[in-house]
Parts: sequence; C-alpha cells; structure tokens
Amino acid sequence: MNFSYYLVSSFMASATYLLIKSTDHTPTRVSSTLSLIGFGGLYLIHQFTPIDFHSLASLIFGASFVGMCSHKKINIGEILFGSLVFAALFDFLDPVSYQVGGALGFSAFVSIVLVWSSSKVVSHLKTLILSR
Amino acid sequence: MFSSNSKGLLLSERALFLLFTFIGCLFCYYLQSALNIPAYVASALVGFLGSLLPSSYFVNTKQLIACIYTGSFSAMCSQSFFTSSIDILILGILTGVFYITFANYFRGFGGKLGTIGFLSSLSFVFLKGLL
Repeated sequence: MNFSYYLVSSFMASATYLLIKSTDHTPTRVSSTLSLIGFGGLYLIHQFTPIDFHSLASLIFGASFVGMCSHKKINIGEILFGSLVFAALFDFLDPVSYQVGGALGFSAFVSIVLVWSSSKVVSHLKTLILSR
Repeated sequence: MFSSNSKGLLLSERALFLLFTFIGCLFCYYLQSALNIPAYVASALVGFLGSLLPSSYFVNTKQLIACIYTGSFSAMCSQSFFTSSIDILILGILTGVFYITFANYFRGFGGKLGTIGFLSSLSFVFLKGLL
C-alpha cells in the first residue's frame, strides 16, 4: 500500500474540483493545466530525489478526472472519497499496465459512481430510519 | 446553428464531433510516436491546446473541446496496437461514434470522457484482434 498515492490523489482531485467551481474555465482546461503543472512539479522533484515518476504522473492525470465532476451533482466530500477509491484502484489494479487508452478515466468514473451511489443509498436509509 | 440540447444532433454536428475526436486522436498519437512523449503528457497537452479553442456563436465549443480530449484518451493505447495510419483513422471514427452515442449520459460525472475513450480503444483492440 502506497500512502503517497492517496495523498496525491485527494489533493489533485479536490484542487481540480474547486478550481472548476470557482473559475470560469472549462473542466478540460483545468484538468489538463493542473496535470501539466503536476508533471512539471514531479519532474523537478525527480531531479533531486528518486520517485516513481511514471506511476505518480499517471495518478495525477487520473485523479484530475475525479475532480472533473459537476458541483451541482457531487459535493467535495464525495470527491475526496472518490479520489481515495481511485487511489486504491490505481494501487491494486494498476490500470496503466493494461495499455488500453482511457483506463485511467474509466477507473475515475467507476470510483466516483461508486461513491455517489453509496452516498445515495446511505441518505435513503437515513431517511427511512428517521421516518420510523 | 447547433442546439445546446444535443439529444437530436444535427448531421453537421455529428460530423464535427467525428472530426474533432479524430484530431484529438491524431495529435496524441503523433506526440507519442514522433516526439516520444509519454501517453499521459501527450493527452494532457492535447487537452490543454484543445481547450484554447476560441468560443463561437455558431458551434458549441465546449463539446468540441470534450471531443478532442476524448480522442486523446483513446489514443493513449499502447503504440504496438497501431500498425498503419489507417488504424488511427479507425480509432478516431470509433471514438467519435461512441462520443455521439454516450455523451448525453452520466452528465456531471468525472471520468465520463475517459470511459468513452476506454470503450473506443477496447473496441479497437478487439477489432484488431478479429481482423
């Protein structure tokens, strides 16, 4: 289990989400710009200390997709949980290794749908329990 | 010219979506194969350059940018799958068709474009295996 994955993923996803929410830029621009900045930062760190550049760069790119959600549908808590699920999927399944395009986006989509549907079920159960 | 509610897409709109997904695919593939740039950097670069498209009164630019980004995701396939230039054309068309079919579903969920790219490249890989 690589804890840095969870930290990087939640930071990247929440940064993307909050930037999309607070600025006029399109989700595509925010996601790609933040990813490019992230790659640059990783490259600089890589010059001074040995890190798994390719894995972390892929993680940064994928986590930015988690943050590309609409703030009308998904809240920041769900984004954070989604990014943790994404990091877990990335850690255990390693979607990049399948060599198929869009695997990172698909993992991000699965993570966010999983968290969103779970939160819907929980709130539904809460309402049912409270109404009794 | 183009309705923002794209349930009934115009033919010209579909053609533009196909064209822009193909452009995204082609650029991402070119950056990877000719300039030896890693797939994730190539895709992010294509997405960033695509997002600089100026907004237009006649075209839904946001959709076109999304098409470019989706095309770049599907081109993140391993380079070993591409044996000729026709392959990238097939992948671009497949991505465009999947985009037109699924773009209206799961609105507001992150990773939707990546999922369309994933379905396209998976279909492409299966198609390559069959032929």
